[in-house]
Amino acid sequence: MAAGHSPMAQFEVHKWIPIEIGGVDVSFSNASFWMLLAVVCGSALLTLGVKRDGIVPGRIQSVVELMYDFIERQTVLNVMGESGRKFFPFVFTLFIFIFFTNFLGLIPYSFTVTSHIIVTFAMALSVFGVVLAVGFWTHGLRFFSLFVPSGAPAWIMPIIVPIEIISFLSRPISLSVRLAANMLAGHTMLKVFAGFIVTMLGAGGVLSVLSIAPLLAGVAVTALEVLVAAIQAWVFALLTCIYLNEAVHLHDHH
Amino acid sequence: MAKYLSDQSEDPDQGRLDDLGRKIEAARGPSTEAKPGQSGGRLNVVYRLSTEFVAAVFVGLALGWGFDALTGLKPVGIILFSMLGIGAAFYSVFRAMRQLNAEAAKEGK
Repeated sequence: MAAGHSPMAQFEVHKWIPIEIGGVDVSFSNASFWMLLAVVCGSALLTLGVKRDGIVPGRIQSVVELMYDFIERQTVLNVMGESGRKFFPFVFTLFIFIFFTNFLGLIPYSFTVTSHIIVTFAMALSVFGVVLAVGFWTHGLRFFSLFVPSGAPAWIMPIIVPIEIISFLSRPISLSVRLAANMLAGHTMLKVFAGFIVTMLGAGGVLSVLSIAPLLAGVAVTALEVLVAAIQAWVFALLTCIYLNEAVHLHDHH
Repeated sequence: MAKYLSDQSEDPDQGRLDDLGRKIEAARGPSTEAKPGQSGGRLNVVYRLSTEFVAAVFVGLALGWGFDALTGLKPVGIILFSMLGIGAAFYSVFRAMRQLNAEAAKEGK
């Protein structure tokens, strides 16, 4: 396969406008562009959706209301109860950004920002930071009791407390790896199937006829990817809520 | 349109609209829309649990490696912390399963 046609070529970051400030590379790249586009599209959809403010909602307004309701009632309030209302803007922003970067990444020749672990890790770290801040803000040092399971015998503590801490520290990693790996795997799979179609068509004879198989598989994977793009955005939002809920309520929910 | 809606106190139909809103809310029920988690099904669960597991093992290894680098007790930290990491991995998966079950129970209600 030629260099430009490798299934991984779609994930390469290209500097479009090289910028360097104080020795730090802050170039405007294709990644920056698609992130910016996601923000613009997300803001545009939400702004357009509420602009007309109709009692009988139009198409865009229905979409916006559905998304809003889905994250507010079905996710944030469902997991956290009334205390979750003040975290709704944070969770909804994360959801909309991930949702749009995932969906824009499905457009051919586009770039999937969320397939890069550094992007998802930055978001997961911000969630982790908010969880820590909220935990210490509401409970002070009592927040550390999160690592001490209630009702466990004392002799098991030297084992269970480090395990709890490791489990807690692994959250930003699992949160970011899940999203990035999903996107990376799905898009690579798409490209591989697409590559098969071209190779088999070019081979001629029976293989050309058989190239319908990877085409069908490609269509199926595309459908799956649409689903995955939405689900992963929601899963990220849901887990953010679960983690925040633990920070707010400590062990109350057990 | 928006301008007229903003001064709703003037609107003679406001009472009827509120009534209608309440009726719609009641007809809708607490949660009628399908959750993507349900249709995403198994694959979603597999991804969630496997990343949970792998992440905990890696954090254990990283902590052990850091411990060795800091203290110079080379193999001790990585052995100890990787075991703890594997423990944490099972624990995380167990807890994630419990969360998934709780969600399923909530939806079934």
